[in-house]
Amino acid sequence: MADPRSNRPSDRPSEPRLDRRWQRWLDTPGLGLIGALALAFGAIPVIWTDQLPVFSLVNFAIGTPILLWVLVRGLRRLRNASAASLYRRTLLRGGALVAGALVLAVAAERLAERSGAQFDWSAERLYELSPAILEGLEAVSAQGPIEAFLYRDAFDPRIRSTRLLLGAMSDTGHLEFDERRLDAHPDEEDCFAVGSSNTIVLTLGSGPPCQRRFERVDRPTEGTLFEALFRMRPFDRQTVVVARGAGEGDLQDPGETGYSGLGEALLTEGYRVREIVLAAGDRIPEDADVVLVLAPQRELLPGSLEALDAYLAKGGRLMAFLEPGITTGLEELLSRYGLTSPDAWVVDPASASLEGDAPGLSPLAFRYAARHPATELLSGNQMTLFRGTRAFELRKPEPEDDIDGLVYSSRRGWLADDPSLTETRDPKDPPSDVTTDYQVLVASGRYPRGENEARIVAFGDAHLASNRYLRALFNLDLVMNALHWTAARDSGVTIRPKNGGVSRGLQFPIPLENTLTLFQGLGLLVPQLLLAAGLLTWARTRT
Amino acid sequence: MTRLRALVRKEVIVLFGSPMAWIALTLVALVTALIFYDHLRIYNQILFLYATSTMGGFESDTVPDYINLRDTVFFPVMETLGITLLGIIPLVTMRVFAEERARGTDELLLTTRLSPGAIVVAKFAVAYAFVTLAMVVSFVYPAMAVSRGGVGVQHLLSVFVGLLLHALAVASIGLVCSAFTKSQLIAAIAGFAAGFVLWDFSWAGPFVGERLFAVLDAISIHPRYGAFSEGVVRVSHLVYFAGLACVAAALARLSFDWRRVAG
Repeated sequence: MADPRSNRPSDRPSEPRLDRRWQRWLDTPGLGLIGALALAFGAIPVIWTDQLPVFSLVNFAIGTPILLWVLVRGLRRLRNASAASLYRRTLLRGGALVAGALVLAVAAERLAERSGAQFDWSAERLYELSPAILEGLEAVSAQGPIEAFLYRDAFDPRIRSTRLLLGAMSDTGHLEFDERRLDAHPDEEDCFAVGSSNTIVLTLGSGPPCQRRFERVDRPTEGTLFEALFRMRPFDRQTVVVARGAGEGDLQDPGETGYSGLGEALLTEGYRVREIVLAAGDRIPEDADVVLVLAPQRELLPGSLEALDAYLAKGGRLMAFLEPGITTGLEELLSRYGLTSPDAWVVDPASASLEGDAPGLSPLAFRYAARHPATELLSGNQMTLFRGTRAFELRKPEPEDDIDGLVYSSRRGWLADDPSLTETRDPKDPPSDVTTDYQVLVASGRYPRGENEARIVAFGDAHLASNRYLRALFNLDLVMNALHWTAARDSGVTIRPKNGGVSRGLQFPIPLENTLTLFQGLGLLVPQLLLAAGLLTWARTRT
Repeated sequence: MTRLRALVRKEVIVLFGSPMAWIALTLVALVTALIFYDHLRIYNQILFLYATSTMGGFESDTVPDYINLRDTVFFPVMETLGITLLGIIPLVTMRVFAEERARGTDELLLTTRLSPGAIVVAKFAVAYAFVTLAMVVSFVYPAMAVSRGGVGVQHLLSVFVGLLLHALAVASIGLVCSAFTKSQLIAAIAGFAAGFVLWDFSWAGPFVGERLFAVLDAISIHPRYGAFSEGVVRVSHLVYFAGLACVAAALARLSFDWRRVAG
């Protein structure tokens, strides 16, 4: 018989006690939490370093069996309990409730996700698709299914906004989108030449992705996606002939005063661009859909004007940009078509000074012809900016002709022969001999001539189409829509997405002094009052 | 209904009778104010640096697009606050069920004619109301600062809704943890750990297959929360947070039922 006081390992009475202690310890709910903590702490280095270090491996190796053990013990206890049926009933009822809530939550969430309902409260309305994108999606999807692949790195923060943008496009029903982890599909990435995260590939058609027609967008914004969609649209390319030789604006010049932005927009929106030198006797080609005369700086030669006149007489289409203070002979030609432009500057008292100009000389226009196809989409809060502009007086040359003002100054606009006049005079106080009225800043005309119809759009200013101002406000929309109308491609008239993402509205400074005063007044006062309330509560409970 | 109202009243009195609630409110308000002020100060400094005449001024487009209220203030403030709330909210919710369980007063509750569901609803409602109050109090200063600047008020509202929903989601997780233990400390730690794990599964991207990652991404809080900082309020995201609250309430109720039969 063994001595009860013995401390030998084989001492039998001590075994149940030890076993019970183990048992109690192993049954504690805290053990499960230790397992969960091991998993959580093991995950931390993985999150931070993007690797699987030994620390994490050890934690996962400890945490996983502990959690499994707790689960198994719990199930065994449940099975062996004396009131097993009651336990089971409770567990089943509660489990069913949890499962039901889970299924309902997932189903409701999936339904809501499929509906795509959302409110865009971003200051710049980034996720409300522009009409151009919607039209582009509709036109391209008519050719076949569009699928967008978003290649992304797990940690790329830019994915969030790209995903929202694609989500908004997908909600239109014209596009399916799929996220792909970068490096997970190397063959596809090779054929699409995907090199970095946050790249979108738009594909058109069915079959293996690499065999579809595709457009890659490396820096996705609504603007770049619009351009990609436009490249996928079916249309007959039309030809814009650009007149050169009298100091006209250069569509290749990338400088601030150049017009390379307009050149790119023409290519993006489906035009071929060809230059001719009218002064050298070049003829206007037969296949010209529009002739663009971009702010000549010298007088055009009589031969050039005759060539333009003859072209228009045959039903040609002309888009001309004039400049105040420069006489080129084009004014006389336009005048014969009912668009007379006196050599004077428009002064619009509703517009403030811009970049050192005298006030009123840079009209900010917001009145458009509501029924003209070129401007019907522009509303009063979609402004266009002119930098020194002429005005037009309108008169029908023939009864069947159709002459329209497209863009107007404010009602108090007037004409100044000399721009320096406004340096000494308040724009609101014009000389007594001038009349104030809505001044026509852009004019258009349709001239049916036999079987043909000539079209002209004339702008009083060319700066609005220069690289510096083309993307300002809605200038690009006005210029391109006017060009589409001139080329009789009314389907191209749209409002384009504002590229670049963030509007200046969100870059407005919040005065630091105000902020500091508010911080001291509210940022600190509110916590102080709350703490005082807490102290009072504490004092009351003690007494 | 009277019993339910009495329970809610008791919960409110217990909550606000404890200095802990006031300290938590103070902490949330103070931390929000400090984080927001600091980001606003940095934003202003960078903006003015770029806008100086030597850099060309505002008109010359020298201010990069990424310097704006959304990217420089709303995003980082929400990220920092999101993580901070993961730590603070469980301190508030830890006592809701665990304290009753530790003191044995939950058995008294069970002897009233209130159903376990009603008890859970009452406790959740009071905790949610407290978290909402904390968020409102903490947002007084940012809202005033931004609205006086005259920009992005609607965007700020979206940020607030996102933060509120995130705080309520963390509270739901904390309440479930509190319901399953009688130790307040364990409830707080488990609430933080579970919230932290559910916060974002981006880290799993390199290790798991695309389908599993899509599922993990779909259940994590961060992608949805992030949309609010973009200024987008998606109905599916609202439903996600509502669903999370419902599942949490169902789990808490299961714990209550279990306690009733297991003792």
